[in-house]
Amino acid sequence: MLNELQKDLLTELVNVYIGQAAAMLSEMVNHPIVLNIPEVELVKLTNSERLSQTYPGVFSPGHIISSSLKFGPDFRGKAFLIFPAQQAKILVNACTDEMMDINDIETQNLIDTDFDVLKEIGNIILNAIIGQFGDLLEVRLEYSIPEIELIHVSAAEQQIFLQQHLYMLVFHTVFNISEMAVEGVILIALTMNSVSELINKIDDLLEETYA
Amino acid sequence: MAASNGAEGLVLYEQQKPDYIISDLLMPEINGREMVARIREKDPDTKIIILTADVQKTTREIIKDYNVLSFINKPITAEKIDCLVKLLEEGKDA
Repeated sequence: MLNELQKDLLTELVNVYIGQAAAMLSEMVNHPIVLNIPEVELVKLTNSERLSQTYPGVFSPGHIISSSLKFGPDFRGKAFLIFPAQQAKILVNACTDEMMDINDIETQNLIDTDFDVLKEIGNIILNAIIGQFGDLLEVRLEYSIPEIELIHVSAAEQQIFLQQHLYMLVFHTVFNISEMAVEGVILIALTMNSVSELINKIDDLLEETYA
Repeated sequence: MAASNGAEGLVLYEQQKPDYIISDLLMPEINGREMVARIREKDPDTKIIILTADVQKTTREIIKDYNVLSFINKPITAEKIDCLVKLLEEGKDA
């Protein structure tokens, strides 16, 4: 869907946005965060079965935590921050400064207050990224109240879970917090108009660069 | 005292008339912007601090119109709390 130049520029922009989100996450967990350069893809929903092949750690059947935020009206979509449930617990403990015994199953279970923490982490990180898309496109975005869900995703349900929009912008990155790798995926589900708007803006920026 | 949404915030404001209000923007029932607008209609002087995850430049510009004391982006850190406390103390002395 994106040509090489478009993908390169979008990756550069996303790298900056995720870097800023990572800086915020670093403040929350009070540890330096090292992250890899995000892989960026624009996927059409009929190809979304590739997501489970490309990102098996996040999309394989099992429990995932999904923190999400709807945005609009002019650039419209829904953003998701998705972690495997067990890694979500690592994030919560880093924020609350709790130690986690990886051999103790009890301490790995998410409790009620953990969901509040995860909702707020998602709110901050997704706002950091989506807000910057809004500034890039020079549109004012309004947001819905953030949501948090623990979802058991079977292979069949993956399609249904994602099946609200036609296109998906996928950023896959790994945050390293104190030598613990937390693998997360940020999905931005976009309407066709929003995708066009984004690609038009990228083309404008490319034109400015190469003019 | 704390409210869990903008509607509760307005009720508490009417009942308690606090010196300072720290408010999020994105809230259920009535959002922070609407709550602040309604408070400002009644009281141009109540000191209001906005604490939000919204990083858009336009948000900052819109909120400026409501004469807020400070606009702080989340996450809240120890350093930001120190600045906030100093701001509140200066406001108290002023």
